[in-house]
Amino acid sequence: MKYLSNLTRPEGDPKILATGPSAVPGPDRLAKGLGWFSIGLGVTQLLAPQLLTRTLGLRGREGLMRVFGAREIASGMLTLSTEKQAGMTSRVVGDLLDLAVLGAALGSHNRKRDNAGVALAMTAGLTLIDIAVRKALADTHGRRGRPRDYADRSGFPSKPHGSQQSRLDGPKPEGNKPEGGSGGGKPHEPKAHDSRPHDVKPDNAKPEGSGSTGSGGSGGVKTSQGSNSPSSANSTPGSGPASVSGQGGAKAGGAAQEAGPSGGPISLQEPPAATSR
Amino acid sequence: MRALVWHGKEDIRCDTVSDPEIQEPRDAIIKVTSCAICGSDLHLFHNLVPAMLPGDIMGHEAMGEVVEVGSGVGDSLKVGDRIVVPFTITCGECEQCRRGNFSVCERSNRRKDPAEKVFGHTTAGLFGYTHLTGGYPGGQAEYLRVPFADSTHVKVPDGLPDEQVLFLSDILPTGWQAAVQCDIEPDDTVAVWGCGPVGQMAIRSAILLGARQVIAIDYLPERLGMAEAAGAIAINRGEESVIERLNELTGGKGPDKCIDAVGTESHVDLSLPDTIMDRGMQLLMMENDRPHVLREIIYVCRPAGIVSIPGVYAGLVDKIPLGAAMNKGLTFRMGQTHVRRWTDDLMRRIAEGEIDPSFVITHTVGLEDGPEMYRVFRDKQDSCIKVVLKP
Repeated sequence: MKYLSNLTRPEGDPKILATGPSAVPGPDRLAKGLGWFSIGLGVTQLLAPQLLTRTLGLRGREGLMRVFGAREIASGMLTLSTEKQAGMTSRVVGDLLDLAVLGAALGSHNRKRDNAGVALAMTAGLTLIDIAVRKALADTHGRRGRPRDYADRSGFPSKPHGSQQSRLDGPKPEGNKPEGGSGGGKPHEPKAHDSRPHDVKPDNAKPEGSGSTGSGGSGGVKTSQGSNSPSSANSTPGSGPASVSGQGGAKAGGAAQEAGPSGGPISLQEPPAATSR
Repeated sequence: MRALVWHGKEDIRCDTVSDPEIQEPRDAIIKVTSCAICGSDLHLFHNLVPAMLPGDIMGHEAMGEVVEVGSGVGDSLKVGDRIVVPFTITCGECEQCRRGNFSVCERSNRRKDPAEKVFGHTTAGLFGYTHLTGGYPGGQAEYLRVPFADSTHVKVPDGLPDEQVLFLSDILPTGWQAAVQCDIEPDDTVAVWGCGPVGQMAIRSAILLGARQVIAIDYLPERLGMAEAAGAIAINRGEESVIERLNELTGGKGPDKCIDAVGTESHVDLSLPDTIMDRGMQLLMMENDRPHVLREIIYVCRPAGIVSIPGVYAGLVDKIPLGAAMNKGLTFRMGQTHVRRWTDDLMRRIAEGEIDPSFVITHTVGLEDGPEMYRVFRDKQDSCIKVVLKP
């Protein structure tokens, strides 16, 4: 009963015996929870605005409450999608609108101002959570560092021939046989012709110049990098040790770790100048 | 055995599952030695392609060693053979297979009903690619059952490492077919949108097929750098107008041949309103795909040009300027790859050193790190372009 999905498998197809750990990052899970919270609150605001306006002393503002409900639902949907960061940003903006309305409800004319005060405090707390989750999502999913240089990865072990050779040899006049082809069409020179048959070393390979031990056992991320740009890599967060296979003998500046006694993964410290992580 | 299993949107785990078994006489079981994460796996990761079920094993780019064969496989395969497994499962006997249209094999989709309802007709069964295409367990696993194995395999000659031949399973023939569909002539300018793995292969294929000028379009510098390494001209869409630059490079005529290697998930760019509209409509389930690249291609392609679409589209798209396409007389060619149609030729080219597809590999990890690498690949972190898994 634990794995209901097994019921849908035809006889003979693999069925789940034990499930592995989830790789969904913590901020994603938090965002998912907040997304569902948004939808729940939004549906309440949309369908029962009087309930909220009575509680908060905002009678006569049911229309505004419905609009806010629609906004909450939209934010929730966005947060539950792959555009979590946009969803969380919209939640923060929505929080600020909520704070403004609740702040206005704190006046002495409102007999329910105590309720409004509690709501304001809760919203302020949620705003801080939203901002923190938004930042954590950006940290988890953002592109960082400089891009790697793959300039020596032509994919052509031998120099191409025929018409492509003439193209690779240098720029041609612009355009498809254009009249008056304008400038700016200078093809880039090919960076190199890769004569190395393999970009990737075996998992337990030891890059030249690499140093000492890894944790052995499973996994490890190995990135392969151009021979002209000594490789660099880090393991992804939470994953095993990283390993790097540089073409033509990768070397990493700084500390390097290689396979342990078990022949496990190689781990190299990424030089800051080349890192994107 | 261990396998990467889909549990829901953005949730792939390395599970322990039962070993696959021979189910039909023409089956074989392989011990997977290398497999890869494909860009189209990300569409499943994002749950954009319908009919994934929790418990589905991912992966359609795999190769390995035959460890068991069914009684009907005959002499074409034997235990110990090293094979690449095409992602399209082909019976080799139906009318479409005999015509070489392997990706629309009429017999290999074991769940034809949903495909016939959605597409009108069944298409070939695919490994690890939803229950519309058979719901076959994928190759991101330690073992893989290969249906119709006597037809669905590419034997690997001695001396070629996994990294050089693995991509015969998908991205190399996919990029190749995209270029072949363009009917490239020596004076042609070929523009390729998207410099992911398929785009990189399409660029090199267009070069090998003799295009005079190949233009690569993306917004990621590392991918454009890899395209330039082959001799392509790069356009960084984050820094310059694609339309203006293409017109500049072609004397205002537009590229003769355009390849859409992006597909359903066009990059959402705040400076391009239609990409925001598409994302919103996709969220509201008013369209399945984000076809910005197609719109751009139709606008910029030279009249009477050819549009080749290897990028995966899942369903309904909105606001395609068909009027422009019709009046410009564009020819559209698309489809899942007829892998077996191209693999003999491509294997020869690899063996003769004409092309080495391993250039595209940027990360090699164990299977247990696969779930994390889906995220790294999706987020384009660490300059990740192609992930190979070693089960």
